[in-house]
Amino acid sequence: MSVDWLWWLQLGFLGYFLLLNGTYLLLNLLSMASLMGYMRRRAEAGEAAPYLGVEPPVSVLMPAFNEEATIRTSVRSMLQLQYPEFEVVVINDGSSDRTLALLIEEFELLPHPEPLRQAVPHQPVTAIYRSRRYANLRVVDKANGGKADALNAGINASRYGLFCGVDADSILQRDSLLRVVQPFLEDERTIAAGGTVRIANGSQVRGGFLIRAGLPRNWLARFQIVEYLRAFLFGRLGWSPLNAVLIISGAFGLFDRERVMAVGGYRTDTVGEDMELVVRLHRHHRKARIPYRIRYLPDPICWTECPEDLGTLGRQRSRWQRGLAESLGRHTRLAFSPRGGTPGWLAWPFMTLFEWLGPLIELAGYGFMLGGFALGAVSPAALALFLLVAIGMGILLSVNGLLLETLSFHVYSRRRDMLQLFLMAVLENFGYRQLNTLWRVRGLWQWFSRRKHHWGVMRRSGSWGQ
Amino acid sequence: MRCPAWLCEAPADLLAVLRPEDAILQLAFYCALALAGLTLLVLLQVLLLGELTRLRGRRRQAFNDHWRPYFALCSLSDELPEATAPRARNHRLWFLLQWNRTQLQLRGAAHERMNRALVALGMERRALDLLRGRVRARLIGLTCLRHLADPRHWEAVLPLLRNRNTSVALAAAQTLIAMDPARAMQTLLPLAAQRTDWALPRLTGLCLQAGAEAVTGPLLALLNLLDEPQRTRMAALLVYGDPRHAAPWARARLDEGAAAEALQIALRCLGELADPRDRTRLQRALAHAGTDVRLAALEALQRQARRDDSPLFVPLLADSNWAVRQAAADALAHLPGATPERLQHLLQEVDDRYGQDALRRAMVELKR
Repeated sequence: MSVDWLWWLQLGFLGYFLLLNGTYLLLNLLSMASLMGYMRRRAEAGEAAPYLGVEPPVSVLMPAFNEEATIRTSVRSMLQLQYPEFEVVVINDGSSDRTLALLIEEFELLPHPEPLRQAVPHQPVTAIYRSRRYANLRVVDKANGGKADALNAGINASRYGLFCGVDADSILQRDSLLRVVQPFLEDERTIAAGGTVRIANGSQVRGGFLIRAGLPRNWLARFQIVEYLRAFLFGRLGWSPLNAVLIISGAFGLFDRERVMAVGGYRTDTVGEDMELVVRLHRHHRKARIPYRIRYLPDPICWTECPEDLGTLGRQRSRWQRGLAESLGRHTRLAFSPRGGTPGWLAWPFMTLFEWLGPLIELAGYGFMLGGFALGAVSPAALALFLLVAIGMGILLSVNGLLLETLSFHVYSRRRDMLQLFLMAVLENFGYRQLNTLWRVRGLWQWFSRRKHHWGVMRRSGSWGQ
Repeated sequence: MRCPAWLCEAPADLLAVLRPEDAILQLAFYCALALAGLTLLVLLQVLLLGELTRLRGRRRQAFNDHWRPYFALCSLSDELPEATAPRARNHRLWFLLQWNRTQLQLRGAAHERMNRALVALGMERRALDLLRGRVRARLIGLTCLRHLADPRHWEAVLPLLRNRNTSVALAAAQTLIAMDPARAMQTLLPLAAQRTDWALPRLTGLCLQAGAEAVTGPLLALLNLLDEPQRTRMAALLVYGDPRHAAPWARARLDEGAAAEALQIALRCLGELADPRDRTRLQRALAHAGTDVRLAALEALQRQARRDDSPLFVPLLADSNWAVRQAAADALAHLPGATPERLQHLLQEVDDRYGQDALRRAMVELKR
């Protein structure tokens, strides 16, 4: 009897991994079709970012908390974006370092008595500054309340109908705004659009812009390059044609301000405020039967600095997992609801089974198979096969991320870089991915135990600030 | 000839050793082998595609390097330099792409010289041929013809206006406008009312390209024929028309108390016109229940504001809407003859706390 039970359990774990990676492969194929179509349209319309002269003005919101290492470069980079009309609103969320002082000094900020509308709630604003050098730069200084709270203050302070949330440790490609606004011009139902986030570690950054993409020396950062390619190029692109994108990265996303205000802005009691907002937008529009589109685009690129040490990376991943659990957990009513559409019937169940509960099942699978093998309950052949299926399919998925990259933008054009990334795609499945699973399980525990949340602390290299 | 042992026998032996006995495990084993094979294939594909992209990039670069000096000479001199048009199909396409790109940066005489060079090389014919090709070719051809702006190509381009592909149809619209704006707007506006895939910002772009003169007549005629919701959608374009001609339509909407969207458009038209005879109408709209309508009325009134108009705007400093309060403050700060002293005096008269904040902000911005 117990032998039967063990046999079925082995089969169950094998089946789960097959289903997990098989579904990802399916999503991968969908993304490939979507990407090919997108690249064809891009080639048809010309490689250069289209400029019509009717682009709506955009408020770029940049929440910052203790960002003294990169804030000047990031703001300078934002001010040089290629876009007809935009403003940059930096929200200093009660930084305890010299973030505000550096901004005041670098951009010649002066206090500006500006009444803020209270469309969405946030912590009190201490002061608003306006730059003497750049007419389109304002800085909102406020009491600490977290990233979501800072973004809410930015929404209230913004003057234009579209706002673009960007991280203060990120830099946008010069034409990113022009590209990410395209869905709003092509389809009036568009309420949000997200771009691709890529790793800037190892790349050459000068004057706030990325000059040449390269690979970092740090192996953790290299693993993350492969991971980001996989997450963005097929994790999100596949959902976009189905109007089922549930995540628009907080590092770079464009939103219709009125629609966001209509749902109450960002929630401050979650660490995954970016995903939570998108899921809430889906739910609200579906419930009220308001036609809408939420899009993901592969070519507006935002470059970000990724953690290069295990501690920071682990905390980041736990936070992301916790955010995901909070976002999905809060909107269980979206799932399988009569008006749920593709987000409720496909994306939500998928994310729940493979992303929310996935780490637990994966950890249990690894534990059972390895423990079972140690105790003699699992045969060596079964263990080997389990690892082959779990790891082999993982490798194939990672390598497919590289294929999508080659088929599309070919950012890493050197042969040596591609070979190294291929090596990373293979190696990440031996240890790094399992470590990630552990961090994500820790995130689930933090979510379950309702641990207090705060801004993620990131150790910066500060190399951009030169 | 016998197959060498290392090639045929050794792998078969290895497979026999590794293959598990259990049928399900055997299936999983083969899956893993297939995965490994697939992974290697993908790697090869990645490397091959990378090489092809690099090769294509180098060829394209060499082609552009060859033609760039020719285009530079063409744009500078009235005398055309000697050249033979490229023969290969992909080279012709690259040539036209490069020509289009160069034209984007040129204006006036240089633009005309480039047009002459294209015709002289016989590439105009190639551009027309492209209209029968696939989407990408059509777009390249249409862009060329847009730069040429020759009305003789009208008949060749017109059918593409009805193309199912939105990009092609809109590119055809742009090309027709470049040839003859008035005639083009007459043709494409009725079509635009039917085609919901032509988003409003794209239509706005077409109207801006055509100019106010070309837009107003056909648009007003069309509005009389349309039913809702197309009428409101198309009416939004009136703002890009000539306000003198759009004014009767706008006044009628205000007088009949139309829907809020139509009222906003009407107010924007009258705002552009800035005719003092419309003041009463505009003032009436200041009391409308809709925030956007009040805001549009305020902005329209601001365009014709007089020195003594402060009593008109001061009550709006106490408006329930934030945007209206800010706009009222801006209007007061920009009134003809507004001085810091006068504004300071006004500020003391304002009771509403939020109104005071708004006016203070506008005063500081005025100082800059």
